[in-house]
Amino acid sequence: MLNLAARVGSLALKNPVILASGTCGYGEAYKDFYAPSRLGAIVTKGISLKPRHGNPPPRIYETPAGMLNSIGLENIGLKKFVSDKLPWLIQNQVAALVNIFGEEEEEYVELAKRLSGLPGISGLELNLSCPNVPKGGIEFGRDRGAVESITSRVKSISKIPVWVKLTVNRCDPVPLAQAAESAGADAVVLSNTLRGMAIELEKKRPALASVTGGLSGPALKPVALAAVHDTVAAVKIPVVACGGIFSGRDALEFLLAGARAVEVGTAALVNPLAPLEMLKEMKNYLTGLKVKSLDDWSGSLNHNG
Amino acid sequence: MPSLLKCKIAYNKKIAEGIFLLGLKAPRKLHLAPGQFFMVRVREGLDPLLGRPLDWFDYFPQKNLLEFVYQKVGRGTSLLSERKPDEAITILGPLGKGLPRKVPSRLLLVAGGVGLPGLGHFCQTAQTCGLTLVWGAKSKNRFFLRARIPGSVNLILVTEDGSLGKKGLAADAVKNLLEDGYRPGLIYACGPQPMLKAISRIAMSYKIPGKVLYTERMACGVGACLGCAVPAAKGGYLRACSDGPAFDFAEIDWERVKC
Repeated sequence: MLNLAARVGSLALKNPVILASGTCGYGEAYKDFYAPSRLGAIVTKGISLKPRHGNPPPRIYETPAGMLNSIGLENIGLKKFVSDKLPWLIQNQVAALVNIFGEEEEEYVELAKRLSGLPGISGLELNLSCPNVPKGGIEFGRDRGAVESITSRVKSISKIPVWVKLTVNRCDPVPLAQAAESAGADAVVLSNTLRGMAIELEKKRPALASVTGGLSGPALKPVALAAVHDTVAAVKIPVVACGGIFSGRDALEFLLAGARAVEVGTAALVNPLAPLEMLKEMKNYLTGLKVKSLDDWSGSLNHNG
Repeated sequence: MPSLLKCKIAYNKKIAEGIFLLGLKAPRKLHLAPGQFFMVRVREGLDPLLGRPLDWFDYFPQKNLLEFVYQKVGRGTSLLSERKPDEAITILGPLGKGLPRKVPSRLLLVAGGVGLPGLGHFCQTAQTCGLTLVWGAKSKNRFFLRARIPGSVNLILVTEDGSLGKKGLAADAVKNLLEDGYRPGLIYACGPQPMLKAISRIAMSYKIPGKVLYTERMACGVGACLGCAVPAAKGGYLRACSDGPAFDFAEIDWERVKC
């Protein structure tokens, strides 16, 4: 009997499929379709200390086998998240990580301080990679020193696991992941969207109001896979994969490359049931190969075959 | 409750210049509110990636037949127009907060082009006493299924090129009606953003209540991605897919609707 239980450092997950930040609201977005407790975990929309209105529309645009978004981290802020959203996650036994975002290093620290002692939060995910805000996010994520400093300060006060979500935008993720590791991160997540642009030819204008956005979807998968593969070889902490994972087979490829779990985002936007369909496909595939557990599969990529 | 529905195409036919009627056999009975929509996957696979938000036009419960009208505007709708009867198609819905089913008295409907389907329930229903429909289109060859609209409806057609009815926009026709002293009890409008903006402004200046069915690009249709932001009068943004698509005129900050 196959066991799909996954482990990311000290965090035990029912299975390796996680809903990615920004694609599932505060974990409740697909509750009309299935109970989110059926998944390994969910990662909330990026939370900031104060609410943020986000960017003006148009915010999204479809591209070949992908999409651009520039939401701009619209969120209800820490206070409302804790009072209005967290109780629902607890009541429904959802394994929830909270993605946190700050314009200043101090904001990450403050968020971590106020969230990490609360019940019902399985971990924090530091957003050091959003390409759609003028300050914070990716600004820190490309800077080794900033990654190390924010991670170690958050780690020093957090009572729960800290994952660091990194970028591959104009940078090599390996030294950044190493910086997160040396600062004590429990895991790194690779990766966030890739900055991109589209133009509406007839209107002679950028397709997004904020001109550029983050590319997600299947078009991103090979980039994310390479980032995961390279990083797994360079760090000892677990790597969580994110980027264009649309099927059980996609997820299995990332696990084979050494990821311990996968975050699914755009696939769920397109089909709310995608994460469950993915789990079923993974189960069938691994059962067919008589694989007993994810530990036997994860990282077993054959480079000499 | 919305669900992912594997449907079969019953028909997919051209009904006007660049405009198609898509009939789908749904796998089960549906409960629909006027103005609700479905995310329609134009075909299986990863490209095009996203569903297309389409308002349902009509529904025949005995046959579980669900109808949509769409205009060929880009690659996605172009691919959709090539789909054949008996092929499978996946739709997600019904989605969003629509309009009350009840037909209020002295209702004025304003439709811009393929905005008509969002209001389909009202202009096809039998109790159309005192119902006025202003329908604007680019040209006379862009109107469709006029036979479905009962004769009791006071139908006013306008075209941008003057090829049928008065020359001008739907909003111009509404303005003329109000200037001539006509006072509807309620206005429902569905069409492109500039039309919605104009109608809301006119209606609010005459203090006539009503709603728009707002359109914006969407990815998920269920409120997850926050892509379909609508500038809110109270500040910040609403989501067209889940706070709407039906909004009171005054809920939207039209100043910030750039179109």
